[in-house]
Amino acid sequence: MNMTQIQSEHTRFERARIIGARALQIGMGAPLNASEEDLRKEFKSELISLFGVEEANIRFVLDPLKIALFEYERNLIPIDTSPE
Amino acid sequence: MVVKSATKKKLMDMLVPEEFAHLLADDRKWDNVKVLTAQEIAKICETDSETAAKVHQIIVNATKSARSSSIDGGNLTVVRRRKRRTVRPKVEQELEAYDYERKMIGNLHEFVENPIFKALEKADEATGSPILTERVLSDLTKAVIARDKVKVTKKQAESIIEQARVAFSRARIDPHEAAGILTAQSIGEPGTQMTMRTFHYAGVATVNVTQGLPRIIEVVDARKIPQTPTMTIYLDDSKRSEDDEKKNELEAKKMAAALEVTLTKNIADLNTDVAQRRLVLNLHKGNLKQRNMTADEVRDKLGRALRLYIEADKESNPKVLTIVPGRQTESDKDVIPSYTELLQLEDKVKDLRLKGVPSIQRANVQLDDETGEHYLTTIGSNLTRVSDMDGIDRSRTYTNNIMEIYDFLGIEAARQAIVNELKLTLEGARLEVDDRHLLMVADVMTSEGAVRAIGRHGVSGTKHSILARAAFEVTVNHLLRAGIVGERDRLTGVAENIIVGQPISLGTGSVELYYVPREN
Repeated sequence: MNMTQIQSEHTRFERARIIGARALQIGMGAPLNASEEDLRKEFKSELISLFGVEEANIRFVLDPLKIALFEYERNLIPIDTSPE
Repeated sequence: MVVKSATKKKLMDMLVPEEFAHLLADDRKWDNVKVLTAQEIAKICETDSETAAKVHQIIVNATKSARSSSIDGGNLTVVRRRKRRTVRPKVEQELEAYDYERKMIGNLHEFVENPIFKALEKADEATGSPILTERVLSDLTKAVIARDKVKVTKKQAESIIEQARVAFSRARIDPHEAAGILTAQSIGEPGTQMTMRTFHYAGVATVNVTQGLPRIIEVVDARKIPQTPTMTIYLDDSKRSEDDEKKNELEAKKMAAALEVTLTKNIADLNTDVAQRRLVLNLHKGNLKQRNMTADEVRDKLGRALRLYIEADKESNPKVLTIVPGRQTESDKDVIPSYTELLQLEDKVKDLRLKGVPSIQRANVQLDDETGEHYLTTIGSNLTRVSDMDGIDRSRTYTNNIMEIYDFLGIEAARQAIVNELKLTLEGARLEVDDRHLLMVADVMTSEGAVRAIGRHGVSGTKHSILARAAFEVTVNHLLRAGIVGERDRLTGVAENIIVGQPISLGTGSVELYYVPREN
């Protein structure tokens, strides 16, 4: 982390808890909030290393934690620490 | 007939015939005698009314003359047996209320009017939510000046403030962080090095204060009296002159002599004369002078403390004092004390405090090399009594006895004293521990309004949760007692939640999640 990065509105405990909860949902098969297109773009190199260049565009398997992080960064998770 | 009572003696002094005096004084005090009428006197004395009237007249005259002469302040002299005790004038000093504004300006006055400070302050306010304190802004100003800048542009100020805000918010601890654990580790780890390295306080001779781990344990245990209580005492401005160095030192020495406890055995050789059943004191001239006392003073003080007649070899400036147990006035010549009485008296006289503040064993004059000021360091501490003394700068008087500070100045002062003492000890061992950890320790110890030790008798023993207490020590006793009384455990702490198998309320365990649906 560099010095000029402003902290997010969540504390590191809250972040861990939100991302953890969301990753569990995704891991159990919950529908994604991020579109498959965006995810493919973000994790292209990873999919290639997993399945090879030919199959990277067809197959789609990713670590749920990575998807949760991706969603958190784009503020797509409908979970917060207070009801408001 | 022997004189039996004081009343009889008094009557006889008034020239009442002895036989009447004897009968009148029998079973009566003077106050009862003087209100008797002539008839009553006649009855008591079994005599004719004429003689009784005479006696009555004598008594009435005696009471009258005593009264009238005392009213017009005539030649009646009030004889006091002993000189009135000279009371040390007590100095009543107003306690100053804590004035935040003045204190802050006092700390920051260097920079408050500085254009750089003002520019930075403005930039911080311009962000909408100023979080930087005056102290931080002052430090920033100092840093800017140290880089040889005279003023900053608006843009520069904004950039400085932005970075400072980031650094500031990063330095702040997250909510629900386990701060106590961090403190325990941060003090505990340097503590392990401390035992290996013994460090001697070489700076001040004659005063050897407990250092290192023993001292830390002492502070944290909230001991009533530390192993080596010591005070630092500064003299008032009224006792100091700017140019006369010698006089300053003399004043300090005088104060030291006034503070130091002087026992009889310090200034005299005690000899118990068993054959004559008396105690002989050979006063030591040199010691007397060193303690700034005179022999007459010693005699007077001994007499007052023991309520005995002290015989001296000569009236002024005596060298030898003789005390006979039980002899209260000079005229009591024929008292024969027992051997045990003599030994008891010897013990009493030996450790009699003739001068000084209780529990201050020694006071030494020290010289501050930087300011050239003379101050006192003592062995033994008594903040309450020393603060009462005239000519002492109370704002700079310090003791390392935390409980004394708590008793005299209150809990806030005790909290600061804990921080000071821990810091001093850690610095003495060349260890760096962040101040905030020490503040944490002090806060935990003092948050309940009294200084509590960290351990069984203090913080851990007085926790609210039964399960937490049971987890710490004597498990069965706590559980049994709680069961009998029917206590409740609200499961708010760490230990109790671990026992029942719940996540603890620290870190991620303290976060509650809610589903917040999106509008679109």
